[in-house]
Amino acid sequence: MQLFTSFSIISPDLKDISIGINYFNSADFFLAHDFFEELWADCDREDRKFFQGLIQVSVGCYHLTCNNYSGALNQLNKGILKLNDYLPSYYNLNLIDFKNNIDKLIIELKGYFLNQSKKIDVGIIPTIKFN
Amino acid sequence: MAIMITDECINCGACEPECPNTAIYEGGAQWELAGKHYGEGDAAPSGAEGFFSKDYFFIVPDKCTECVGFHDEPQCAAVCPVDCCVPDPKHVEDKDTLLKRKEYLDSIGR
Repeated sequence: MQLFTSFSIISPDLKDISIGINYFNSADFFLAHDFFEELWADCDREDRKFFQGLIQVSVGCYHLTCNNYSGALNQLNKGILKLNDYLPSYYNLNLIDFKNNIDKLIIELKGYFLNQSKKIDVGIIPTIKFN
Repeated sequence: MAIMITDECINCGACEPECPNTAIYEGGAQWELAGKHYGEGDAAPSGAEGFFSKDYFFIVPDKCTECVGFHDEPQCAAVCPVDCCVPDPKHVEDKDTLLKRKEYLDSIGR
């Protein structure tokens, strides 16, 4: 009888990532960033930019919900730039769909700074989908 | 050049324990230099102003050596997950100046 299952600390499996994705998709952006930060600290070199990208997009969304629009715009830009290296899919995540929706959010934020017209509707923050 | 923390900071606190000069403080916290305490509205002994933050971690320029004398690169920037520890354009300094500051801080206490 198998008493326990060993999990790799170095390379997170899909189950690990799905916890962070659930935080993100539930709009718990601070928790999502915290979770991805744990993975980022211990992951393989090839995954580092991927998890840092997820951290930065999560932080960008967190800043957005706190009305820190300049912080949000900078973090979303930095994060999506890193995730670009992992398109179209990584860890079975649909990054193309996610990137397109984050790009729309970035356009909204840029529009805010150009027009200073209205607050951003946080309802347009996308979710991250698995393939 | 001292390092500054931008408003992208998420207040995770990863940077604070890495600073060999104890130049990093939590938002709103009093900071200390040579046994003297400072707070909001206080200029640094060098006259530097505008670095204090109530909302985010901040770096006291009079205590920052960009890790010169300790490490090859600023440790706060190395560990920051959101890349918000960046060179402060208002406090540009050369390596000799930073090394002298490190020696000065060694002598007066941080």
